[in-house]
Amino acid sequence: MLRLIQIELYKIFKQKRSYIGFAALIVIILISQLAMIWEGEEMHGFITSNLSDAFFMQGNLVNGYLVTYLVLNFLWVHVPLLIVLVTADLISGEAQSGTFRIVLTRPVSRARFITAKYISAMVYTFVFMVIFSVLSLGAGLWIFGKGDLMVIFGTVNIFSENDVLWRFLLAFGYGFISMCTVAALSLLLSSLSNNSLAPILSTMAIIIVFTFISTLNLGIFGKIKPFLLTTYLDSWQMLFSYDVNLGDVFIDAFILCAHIFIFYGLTIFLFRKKDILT
Amino acid sequence: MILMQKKPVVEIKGVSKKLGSIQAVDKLDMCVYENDIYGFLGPNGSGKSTTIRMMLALLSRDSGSINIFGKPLDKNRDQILGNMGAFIEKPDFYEYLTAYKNLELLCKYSGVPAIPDKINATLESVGLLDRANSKVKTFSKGMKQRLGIGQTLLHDPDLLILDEPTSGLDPSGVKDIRDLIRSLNRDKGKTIILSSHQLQDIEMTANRMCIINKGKLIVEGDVGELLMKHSYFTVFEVDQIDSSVEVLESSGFEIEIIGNDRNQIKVVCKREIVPEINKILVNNNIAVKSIGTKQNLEDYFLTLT
Repeated sequence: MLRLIQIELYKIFKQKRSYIGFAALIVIILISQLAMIWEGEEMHGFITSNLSDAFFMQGNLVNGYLVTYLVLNFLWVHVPLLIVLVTADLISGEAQSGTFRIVLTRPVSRARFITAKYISAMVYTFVFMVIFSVLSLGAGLWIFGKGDLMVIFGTVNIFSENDVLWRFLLAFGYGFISMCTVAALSLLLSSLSNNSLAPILSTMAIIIVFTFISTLNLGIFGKIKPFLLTTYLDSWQMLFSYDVNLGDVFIDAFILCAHIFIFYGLTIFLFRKKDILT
Repeated sequence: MILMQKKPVVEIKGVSKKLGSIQAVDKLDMCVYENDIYGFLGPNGSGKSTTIRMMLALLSRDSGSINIFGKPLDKNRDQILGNMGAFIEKPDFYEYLTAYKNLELLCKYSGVPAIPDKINATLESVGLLDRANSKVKTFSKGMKQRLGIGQTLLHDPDLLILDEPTSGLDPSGVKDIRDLIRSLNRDKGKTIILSSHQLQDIEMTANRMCIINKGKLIVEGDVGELLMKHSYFTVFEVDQIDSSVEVLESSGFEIEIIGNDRNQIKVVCKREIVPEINKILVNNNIAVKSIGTKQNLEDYFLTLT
């Protein structure tokens, strides 16, 4: 299995398209940070203008933690797309290029082949999230320095700088599980397709439609919300509430992990029966 | 005298496969013996590639059984594929990798050590050693074709399935591949299933063959025997076409009118019968302007399909 994973990772990182996502991520984060250098104080002042009548604010409030928190919120829509660009192509790309014929006629079971694809996709997602966290948090702290974090999540929450780092580390950890769920969905759709574009578009279409339904607070959608994976994708935000309930965060993470295993099982089930006609 | 019975390597019994609404393969029986070069013939859409894909477990079957090396394919897929090399339809590789790297990855997929000397020897055997470090996307179709054949040999399998291996090659490339196929069979004892539209490939290399059409087996047997038995047809150019048709049909011959001026009759028959047909025509006052007897696999193939 290790050999298969090495092969899959080698294939991923030898393709130029795999670096498009990294490049886009770096550019977006750098632009966001530059914007915060130029406009950060003004933006922060605008957001907190109503609060300044009631509170006296002192210290470095436009700091690395605030910038990271904002970048996390800005990017949560774009990161899945950048990851899916690569993961949705992992299986269908082989169908489209005809390489299934040389790989699946080797003594490698289809289940092992799919497992290697899944693990490689998770590794790619991990690398992506590491770059994301290092660039946003690491560079954010380096450029803007430390300070207390003030966020508006339901209410105004102010965390002392000593109480913030663990929240970000857990948020990135949760984000990794969220993105692995999106990657798993894209791999399932990828296994059903013989071209690269269809699974990318269909994964994003599902995420967008589900997110739309998840955010609608209408009674009719309220009943199906617990069954939509998008309901759990942004549960990392709970880590920035004042009285964070870690139990709830872990339950949501568990639900996402269950999604990953269901998608993985379904992919193997369907792929073992798939006729290779390309 | 001890008679050695040849061991079947591939046994296909009653295999059927429907693709959409098309019956691609219909109750097909086939048997390939050890050390055969087995010609697998059929027109486009006859079910050759579907059959080959079923042999390689790329496609499921609706019915029937496939045994390879004496074992059921379904239960021994990995073990069987480990001893098979296949080249199907057209050679597709990881275009962004070099020829060498592609072969190295395929060694790893096959679970055999990726030894540089072995990979280089494989590249040399198909004339690509000097392009080992070029990306496959820079290769011509013929070069990819040769690399495709090379990859089948990497893990030294006993059974090779080659689907159209000479397609896209120049005449010297075609000759090289035919020589390679013959030498793999003769010197290394490989059993080879050779599917080809270049019927000359089969005629010049295969010892046994089958012809399929619309997914059904038309004929199977020894290439030499099949040619001797069936593959003659004779074209008679005559002055009275209608009378000739009447006379020959009444004598029990199966005929067909051909030629641009519809002045020729094609009769499927053995060479020994030709004088008799000529006599019948002459006795009926029909002038025979020319007689041409043909014998090759292409004619035979066209006759049957």
